[in-house]
Amino acid sequence: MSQPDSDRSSSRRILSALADGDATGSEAARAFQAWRDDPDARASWHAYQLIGDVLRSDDLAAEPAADEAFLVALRARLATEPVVLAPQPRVEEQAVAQPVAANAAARSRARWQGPMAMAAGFLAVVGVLNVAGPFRHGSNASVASNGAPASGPVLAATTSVNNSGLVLTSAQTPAETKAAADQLAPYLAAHRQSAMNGPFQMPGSDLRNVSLVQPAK
Amino acid sequence: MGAALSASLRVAAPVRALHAHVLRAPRAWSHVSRLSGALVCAAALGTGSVRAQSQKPPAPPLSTASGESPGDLHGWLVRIHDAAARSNYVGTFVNSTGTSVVSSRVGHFNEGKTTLERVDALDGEPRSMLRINDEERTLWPRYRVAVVEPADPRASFPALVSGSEKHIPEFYELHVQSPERIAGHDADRLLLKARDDSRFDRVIWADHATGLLLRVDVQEAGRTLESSGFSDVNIGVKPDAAAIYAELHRGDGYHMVRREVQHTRLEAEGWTMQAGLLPAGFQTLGCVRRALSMTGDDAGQPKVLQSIWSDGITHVSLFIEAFQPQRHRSEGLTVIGATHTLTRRVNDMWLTAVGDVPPAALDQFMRALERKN
Repeated sequence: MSQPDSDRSSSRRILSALADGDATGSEAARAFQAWRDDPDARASWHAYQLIGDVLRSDDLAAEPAADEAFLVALRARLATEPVVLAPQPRVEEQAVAQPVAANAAARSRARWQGPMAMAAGFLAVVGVLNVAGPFRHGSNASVASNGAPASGPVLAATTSVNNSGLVLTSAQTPAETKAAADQLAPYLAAHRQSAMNGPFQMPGSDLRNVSLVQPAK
Repeated sequence: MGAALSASLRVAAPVRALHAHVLRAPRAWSHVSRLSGALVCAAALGTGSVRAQSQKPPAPPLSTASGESPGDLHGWLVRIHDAAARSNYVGTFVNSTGTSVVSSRVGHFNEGKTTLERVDALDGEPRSMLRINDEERTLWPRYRVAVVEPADPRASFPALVSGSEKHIPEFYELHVQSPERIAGHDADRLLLKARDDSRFDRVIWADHATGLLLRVDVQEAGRTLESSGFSDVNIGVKPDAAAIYAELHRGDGYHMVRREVQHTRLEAEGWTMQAGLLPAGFQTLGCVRRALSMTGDDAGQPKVLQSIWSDGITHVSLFIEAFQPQRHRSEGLTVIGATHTLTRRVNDMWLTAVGDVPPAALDQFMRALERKN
């Protein structure tokens, strides 16, 4: 990949600025593109990082090949990892709920991954949580009276699929799980209290799941 | 009775505002103990003697019928409901979600029209719930706080009250299964199999002699999501007057907080539900405006709107409130046992749907909600 020297020096300057944390947004974008497209730029980037590392400590000096080997290994590992839910732009879709339990096993991984990734948000659990099948994110919920997209804060959670076609989502850190439980506890308590004497509600059942929570005082 | 109790507690409300109120046993509660005579609670939780109830329960519906007819299901529902309203029992209640086990000690007594129930959490933060008819107290011993909240009588056994139980067979298929032994009792085992994907299956064990509910499992495609029931229970416990009197004074010296719940209608609050988008079979049980706090200390707490829906067997709450970035951080699905909670920000609103139903059903509730113009 050849390019005029002026371009090259310009991209080196920007890479250097990025390494120093001084690059502007557009410069950073150009630097990323150069890093992606130009092997020389990657070598330069490594050199800049190495210079910085050695300045900090001799122990951090490493051959460029070490980076590449790490990257190759990382990519190979990522390819075998379960999907990480990530923020997705809202898309317009049918407000049709998919069957959840039926045929779950028959569903292809690709089929549920889409909706689940769009559902994103976060999936928190006490322990391990099982979510069967897809459900759709509220893309065209009719409350959206002004039509503005409503993508909220999104945390990543790791999902995998078991042999029954159920999505298994592991909890995040214990602190995040506790925070989620704390946030939901008043809702769960209000929900259970509101229909205590349903046909199959048993005394004590309104205490379930919220026993971890202490009153804020 | 319930009205008298409410009135008595309402008198205390202004005092509570001073945050210096000492809870005394209201007259109405003493009245309860007079009414119920030998009705007992606390001692029975530990040492109460046991004897058979003299009142004879109705026979169970024919268990030979692998009934799917509406009559059968209705018969079982009435039997279970009557047993809950008639039985005196003491037991240990265990809830298991597969990842957690929570136990509580339960005492439940009925006499005439008075119902008294006490639940002591055995795990986690100590707390006790005391329910007399339609009034509920939650005591937090370590904080010395008593939260008083009226239960909504309209939400009490909604299927039979509203007469909508005749629709339950449209959404659940009843299978009477082989009897089993549960918590030391011979039990009838019923499977209520969901006919669509908007609800979960339920396996129910009811005491063969009395009809009292002993255990309920929530299942999806044969997999148990959550199990709630007694690990042991004494049915037909003899009450003890001294013990119940002590029970009524157990909140003495506690800071009493009265939680206010205002009944309203979704439409009156500027919202409406598009019936065509709701999961089949769910009818509204009502709508309330309430503050959300575990201790019921509602001062300064934002109020939320809670719309409650039931298919006669399970219920769903949809909470609607203004979006607050500092409180509403986690959008998405949380699953604890069978309880699914979906949270979502829609413009300047924050929606929370809770229920023992599949997430797709919660999603339908959120989509069906519409702002009235």
